Amino acid sequence: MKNGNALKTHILIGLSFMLMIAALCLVFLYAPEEKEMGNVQRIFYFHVPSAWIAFLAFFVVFICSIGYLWKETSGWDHVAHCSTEIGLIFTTLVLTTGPIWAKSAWGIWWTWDVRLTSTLILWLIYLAYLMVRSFTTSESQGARLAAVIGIVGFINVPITFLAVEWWNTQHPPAVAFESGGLEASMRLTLMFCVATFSVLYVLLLKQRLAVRRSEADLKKLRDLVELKRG
Amino acid sequence: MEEETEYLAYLVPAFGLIWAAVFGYIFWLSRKQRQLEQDIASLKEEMEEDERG
Repeated sequence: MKNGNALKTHILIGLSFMLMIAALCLVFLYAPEEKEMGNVQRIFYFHVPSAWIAFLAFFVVFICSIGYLWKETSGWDHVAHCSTEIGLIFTTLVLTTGPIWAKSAWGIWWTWDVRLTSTLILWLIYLAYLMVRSFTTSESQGARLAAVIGIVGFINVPITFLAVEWWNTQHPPAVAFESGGLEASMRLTLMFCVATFSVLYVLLLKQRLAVRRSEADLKKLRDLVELKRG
Repeated sequence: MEEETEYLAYLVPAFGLIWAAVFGYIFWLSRKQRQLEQDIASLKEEMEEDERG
């Protein structure tokens, strides 16, 4: 059973690595140079999938937080906790690759635009989720509080996504998924990168969950040893 | 020539950051997992020794 799991993990790692290499090849060798922004636009092929993974991860947190408050079983909480960590990493990547692109396109690193600001708020919300967990002394209390943040905080995800439609923002609109918005080769490259990052999310979540389970096992064993030794 | 390669000043940090974050996180996870497995194994050994006497 353990060997089977290890094999699956190795296959997933190999697949992710190959997809990442293929994605890089598509981004740099297949996708054409964008007319207005030039080669810097290629950041977009990893920036957008990073945002997609962050939204997906926070959606998983939302569902698992509801599941935890409803059933109160640790499995839901473990998935929510691990997914938050991954979502936060990818939001950090969005918030760092975005300004790199902005500096080239707008001449500034940052502006208090609605999309940018709501993404920063999103990052702060899920940072608070992790801080609540590490600062509360009771594990179950921390899990419950974090679940509430996971549910309420998710409200900001559709706001962030739709900000470019609802308000007049400097950030480019989401034309990538609309017909006629992008050249076919550019859309194909973007879709491939989104699929690659999705596989990467599954791999990271699987690995993080394994660590979380081992932490729980170690805690149980330590409690058992302490109990036996009196 | 300088203008032609200027975009690299933006592309290299952006892509490097993503790769470093992803592989750094995978590396951290696998190191932590190995450490936890070692801790569990040594704790189990200790328990067995306690039981033996």
